[in-house]
Amino acid sequence: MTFQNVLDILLQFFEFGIFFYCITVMGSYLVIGYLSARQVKRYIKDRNSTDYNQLLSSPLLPKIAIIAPAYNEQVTIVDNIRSLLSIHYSNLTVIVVNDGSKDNTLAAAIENYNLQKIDYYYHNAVPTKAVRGVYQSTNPAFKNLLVIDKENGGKADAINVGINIADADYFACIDVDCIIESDSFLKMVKPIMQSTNKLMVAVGGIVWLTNESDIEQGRLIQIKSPNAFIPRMQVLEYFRAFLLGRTAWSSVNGLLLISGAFGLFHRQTVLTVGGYNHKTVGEDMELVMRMHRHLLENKIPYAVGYVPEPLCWTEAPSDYTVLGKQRHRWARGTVECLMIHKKMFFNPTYKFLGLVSYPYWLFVEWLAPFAEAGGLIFVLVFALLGFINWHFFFLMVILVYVFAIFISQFAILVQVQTYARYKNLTDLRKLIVTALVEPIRYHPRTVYWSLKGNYDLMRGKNVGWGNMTRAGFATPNKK
Amino acid sequence: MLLLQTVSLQDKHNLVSSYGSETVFYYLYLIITFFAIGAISIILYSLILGTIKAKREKRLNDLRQRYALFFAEWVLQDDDEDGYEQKKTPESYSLLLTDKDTTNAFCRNVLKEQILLLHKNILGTEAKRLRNYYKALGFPSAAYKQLKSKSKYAVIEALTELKQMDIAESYAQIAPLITHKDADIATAAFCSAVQISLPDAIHALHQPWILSDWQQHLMHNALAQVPNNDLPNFEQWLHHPSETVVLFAVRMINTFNQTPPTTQLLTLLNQTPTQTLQIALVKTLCSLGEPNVVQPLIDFYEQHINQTAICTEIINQLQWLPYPDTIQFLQQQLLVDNVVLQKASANTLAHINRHVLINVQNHLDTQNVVLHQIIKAALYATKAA
Repeated sequence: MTFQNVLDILLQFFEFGIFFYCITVMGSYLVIGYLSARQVKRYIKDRNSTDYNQLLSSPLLPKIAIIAPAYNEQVTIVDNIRSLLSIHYSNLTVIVVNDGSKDNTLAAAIENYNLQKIDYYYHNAVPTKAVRGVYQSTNPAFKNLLVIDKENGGKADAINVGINIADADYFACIDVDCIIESDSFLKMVKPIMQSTNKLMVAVGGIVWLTNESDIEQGRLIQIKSPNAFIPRMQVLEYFRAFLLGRTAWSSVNGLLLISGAFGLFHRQTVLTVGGYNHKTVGEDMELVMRMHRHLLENKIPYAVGYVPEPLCWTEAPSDYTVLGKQRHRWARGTVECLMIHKKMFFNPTYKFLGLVSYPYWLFVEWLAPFAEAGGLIFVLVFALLGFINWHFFFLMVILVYVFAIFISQFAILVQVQTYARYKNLTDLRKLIVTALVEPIRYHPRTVYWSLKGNYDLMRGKNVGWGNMTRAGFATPNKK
Repeated sequence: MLLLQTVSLQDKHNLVSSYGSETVFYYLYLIITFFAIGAISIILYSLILGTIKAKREKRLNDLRQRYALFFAEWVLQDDDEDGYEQKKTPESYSLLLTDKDTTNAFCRNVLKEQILLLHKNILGTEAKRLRNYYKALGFPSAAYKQLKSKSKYAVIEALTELKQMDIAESYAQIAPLITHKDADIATAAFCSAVQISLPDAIHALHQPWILSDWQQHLMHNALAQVPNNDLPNFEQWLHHPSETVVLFAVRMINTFNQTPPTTQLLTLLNQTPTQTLQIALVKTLCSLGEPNVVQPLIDFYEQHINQTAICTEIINQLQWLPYPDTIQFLQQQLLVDNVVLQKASANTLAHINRHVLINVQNHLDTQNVVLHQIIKAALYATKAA
């Protein structure tokens, strides 16, 4: 076999392989779009025929504990606890875990909520770093608030402390800087209560962004599309990820990830599988995958639910440095989870998850940045060698660009048609225009961060979580 | 998006040379045109939809405000029983309803929504007047029509509406739906029927239902509106073939403080393998407060000592049975090799009799640090309470 033959085979592999890969990815996005639109439509009809307020007086309401790990959150902690305490749910405990903050997070909570240290026996059902103290309010108005002070051990460790302490059927893991819609948990428990023959082990919900929105006293007043470019791009990304992606996967029972920012989990099942894994930065995805594996291997009938409605709001990074670190972490987390649970790959024991969901995450979520970067190098090299058919090249570029816009616009349309949370028409126009520039101005960076995450993981380099500067939710943001 | 697929090589065996440039380009142009037109259509549709929704919301808010004011005045009027007449007397109203308000589908829906909202918050003659007004506007017949809809959500909406407005004549239309094959429709029909004809609705519980917690919650809610004396004796469903109906019956016995023979509940507890039912039975048995329940519960506990969840529940519920046997049993459980049970025992004991727990603490081996901490925490918690 001559060098020429080898080169030809390689070229054909790239040519055909990548072309069909691309077609498959595009096809999967179209299927995801269809499934999510159908699911959201169905959910809205169901929601409109449900009186959630009736649940407040129900004796059948499962007991829920909200676990909010806090690290250096002194700016937002007081308002965020207030926001959590204002959630409408009659059987609720709020557990804030101060993960060894270096600032005055604990002091701010103690001062504002009249906390005092109590005698508490801490049972380490899931091993964690040492707990320094458990605080409870002397004010009966905050009787369902518990603040735990512990040595720094990371987010996963902090949540594990909360799981150990929680005396509840389900626990909700949320980021302390999130704003939760007041009726979120009433909506989240419906799938749990509806399940008759399967144990509902987890329920997720849509997380959207609040940057530049009007917020007062930890409550969302009006959602606005951010003027700043970076958060606005992320609004679109969140539309696609939560409204389209996860909704579609949940409709076919193939959900592998429930966002670490907002999810409800069956406490006993999580304890059985050993709690959150603090050795990976993708602890949310890893836990869901581990639960799936445990339940499928032990043939326990179960389900993972998803409420396709924006129930949780958070602030997105507004500069490239912090955003880069976040995406770097997400990329690392994905690889780590896929590696830990590689046994699931095309394994019929894990049914749809092993045969479809896992391969999708591997070939689309993880492989796509490599395929894109590889393609770019391929084009550059062969352009220099003069092999490129420019007519075909430009047509393909246009196709990819048009398809990217099509999917983003579809996500915007689903939002308008269903929740229409961005009520102002100017906001809508801004998002539409953003979708036109996103593939050129923003997407290449996400590819770079993803590759860097993979590369750093291979080298064993850890870049940490990055410090995000938050405006806080106390006052209305500037218009 | 992917850049790799942008590659095509001249003079090589590739897509263009394999399938012919004209064919490949033809399909590419076709796909691009499809997605481009698709994207443009979606953009235009989003903008139009956004505009329509914004206008619609403004109109909705205006109408809601107008109707709310109208009904505020309407309620205060001391008028004839048939509220419909008021609509025809313009001189008595500053916020008169027009024909459009009662004929236009959008306005009618908002009007209906306001009537339902108001009906929730008023009682007696005012409620009756409002019901008459609702009937006079022809809403019940529209709801009956909606009951025949193919959409289950439309049917549920109509059932809820009839229930909220308490339309007694609607029972004939609702009754057949209690046995509907769709569980959500059947439950909604049951809840509506409970309000209108309780015995007939309750009879439906004899059918082989599989009730989710959600359905049980809805049914409980409907039953909670009924005076306690009118409620059926839920004991009759303790031997229902569907375990979920049994669970519902046990829960309702507890919720409505009924007192069935404890032997029946204890037999059921020993027979059922389902943990949810076991927990509900333990709660109900303990809520009865009878001392003869303690020993059978302890026996059951010992048989299921490896099942922490049910054992913890038994210990927790024993606080309602503060008898010497209970105290002795809890003292023993403080020494078991299970922290969860130890914690639960300490808490229950602290609730029943703090002095016993303090006594245990005083005589405890100083080496037993864990139990010392558990007792200390339990005593603190009850002191705080």
